[in-house]
Amino acid sequence: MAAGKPVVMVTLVSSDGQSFQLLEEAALLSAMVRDTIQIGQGRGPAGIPIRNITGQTLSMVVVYCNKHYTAAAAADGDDAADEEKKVANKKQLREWDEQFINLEQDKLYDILVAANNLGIDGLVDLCCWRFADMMKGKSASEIRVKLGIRDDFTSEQRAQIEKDSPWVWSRTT
Amino acid sequence: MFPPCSSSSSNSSSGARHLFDVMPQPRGGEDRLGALTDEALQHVLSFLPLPEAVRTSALSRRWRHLWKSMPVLRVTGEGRVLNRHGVRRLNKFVNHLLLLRYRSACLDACEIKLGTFRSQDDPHINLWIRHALLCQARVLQVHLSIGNNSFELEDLSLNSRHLTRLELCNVVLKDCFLNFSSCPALEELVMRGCHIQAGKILSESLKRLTTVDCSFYSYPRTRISLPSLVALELTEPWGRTPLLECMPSLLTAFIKLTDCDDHCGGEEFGGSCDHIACENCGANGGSSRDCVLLEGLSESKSLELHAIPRVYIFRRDMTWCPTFSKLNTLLLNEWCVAIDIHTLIGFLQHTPVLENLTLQLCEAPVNWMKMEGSYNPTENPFASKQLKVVEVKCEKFDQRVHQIIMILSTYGINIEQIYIQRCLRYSEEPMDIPKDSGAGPSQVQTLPISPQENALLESVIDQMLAQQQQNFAQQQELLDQQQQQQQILSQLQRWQQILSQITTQLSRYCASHSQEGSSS
Repeated sequence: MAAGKPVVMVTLVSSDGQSFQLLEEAALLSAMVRDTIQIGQGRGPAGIPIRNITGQTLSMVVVYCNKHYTAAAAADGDDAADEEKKVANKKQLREWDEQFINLEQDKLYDILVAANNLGIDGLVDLCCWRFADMMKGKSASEIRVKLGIRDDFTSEQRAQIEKDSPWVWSRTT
Repeated sequence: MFPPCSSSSSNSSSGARHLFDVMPQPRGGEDRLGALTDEALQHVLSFLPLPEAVRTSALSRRWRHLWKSMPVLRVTGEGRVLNRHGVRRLNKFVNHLLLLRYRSACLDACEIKLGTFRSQDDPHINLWIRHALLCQARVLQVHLSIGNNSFELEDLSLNSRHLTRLELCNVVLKDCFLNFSSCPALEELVMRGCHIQAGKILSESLKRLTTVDCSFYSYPRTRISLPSLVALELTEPWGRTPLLECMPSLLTAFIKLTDCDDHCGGEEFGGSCDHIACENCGANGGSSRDCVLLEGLSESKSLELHAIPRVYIFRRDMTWCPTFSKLNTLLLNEWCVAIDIHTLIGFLQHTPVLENLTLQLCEAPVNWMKMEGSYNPTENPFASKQLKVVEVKCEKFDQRVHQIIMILSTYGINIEQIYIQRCLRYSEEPMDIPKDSGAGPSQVQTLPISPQENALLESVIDQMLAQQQQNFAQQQELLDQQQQQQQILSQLQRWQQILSQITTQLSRYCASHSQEGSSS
């Protein structure tokens, strides 16, 4: 943060009435907050009400925004020519992301919904990546168990799927 | 039923993106993922390897056809070496996939990343590229392994109004393919390890070009004709250095030259041999003896020119050095003072608005010649009148640095504005830099300047200051002498006046006396 710049805080209020204060610049990662501030709202003491998102989930989203804002601010301050450092920082942030999102399905789902409603692209991608990661390398039945997907095929249909598309199933994993 | 054409990710650059509409589900529901929209699930699928994404069709009825409108396709060999059987299987799989996916579903990105394949049968990459473009792909990537770098992309020009970014790695490219006249939206082209066998790279719309480790084998030189280019990176081209045509919108350029076929024989001893017949010094294609690189770079605002000292193309270009009328920031390395300091001075004479100059002098010179006599600023004035900061990164405070400082201070740049930073090269040329590290300065590690060097530097500064004082004193002395001389001169003149008066009076007196004598 450049010295002399006034520090502006924004308050986000969850559906269950918990408030979270964060730097406006960090909150601007959300397209929804960006839009609200652009029309001149949300800077007051009442804050920005975030409907449908509980305090527990919102706290996670705030952690993500703060981390990504600090990382971006640090990258701006760095020597632009130091490519190696940039790559290392990027890798470090990715590692942080992966650890941050290493959650069970329920929480992950809540965060995905929250990130989507708030319009935080990076977090949406991260959640989707995590869901894909949970499916990777698993058989259909393993994925069903992991993600609680109900098998609603009839036994004929199931047999038909493999018969219909041998080009998919001939490649063994 | 065909799902609507996905537009979610295509407007991601425009800021607010609402990927999908999901209603929050009460907790405890078993299949919470199932509450997401098709679009959201397809977004999840795009992070899976393609075969696994397609196989999700066996999960449930909901998932049965989801893969058919996935916006991102990642064709990979999954890190395996493919034999003939493997290539056939891959072809069968991808061909089926492309034919069976919904045709109306737009493709946002298509990545083809294959490991080594050893086979008489080739993967149908050319076909897949065409198909991806038919599906309106915006981003297209083709990465082959270094083991298959003789794979030739079909020499037909690409035709797409949607393609914005193209990335190619380890493929052979020819004339028609590199003519992007039919891709009016193309803004970014990245080529790594490609063999470019084309006379021209042509695009009216391209804004960013990155070529790393590409070989250019063509006679005459490959011409890079990209009038809208804003950012250029040309790292370690092989073969004959390509010729840059005029790029009026260029802002930044990074050039790094190491091994190229541009030699003349005279370069060991200071540059061009001035023979039109010489393939490298003289003609570029026609009979024009113009610049290869520098002319095309002359509109840029920020420039980094790296080369190993024996690379000769820059020094050749200096013969026809253009004026860099917008250049604000310049970085040069050892090559600019490889033999003597003339090249550096040449640059400073053609950069009228330069403010920041960085010199990376990590490698010691081989056969450095100290310039005969000292640089005379009145004879060849620097154009760089706005030079503010000079940074010299050097391993040793050698005679080059010494002379650079001397010359810059002769010109009038304060010693405080010159920063000297000590750097150490990593062992030789680092071979294992990650390929995607892309642009960047040569590997330097900064070390604090040792007390000895500091002392040396201080002594040089002291010496210079002392010399200045001495000069000043000498000047003063000379001035004093001059004054004295003038005083003497004026006195002499006065005496002369008096003398001449006396003589005239005397002669008058003599004349009158003689008249008196004759009359009497």
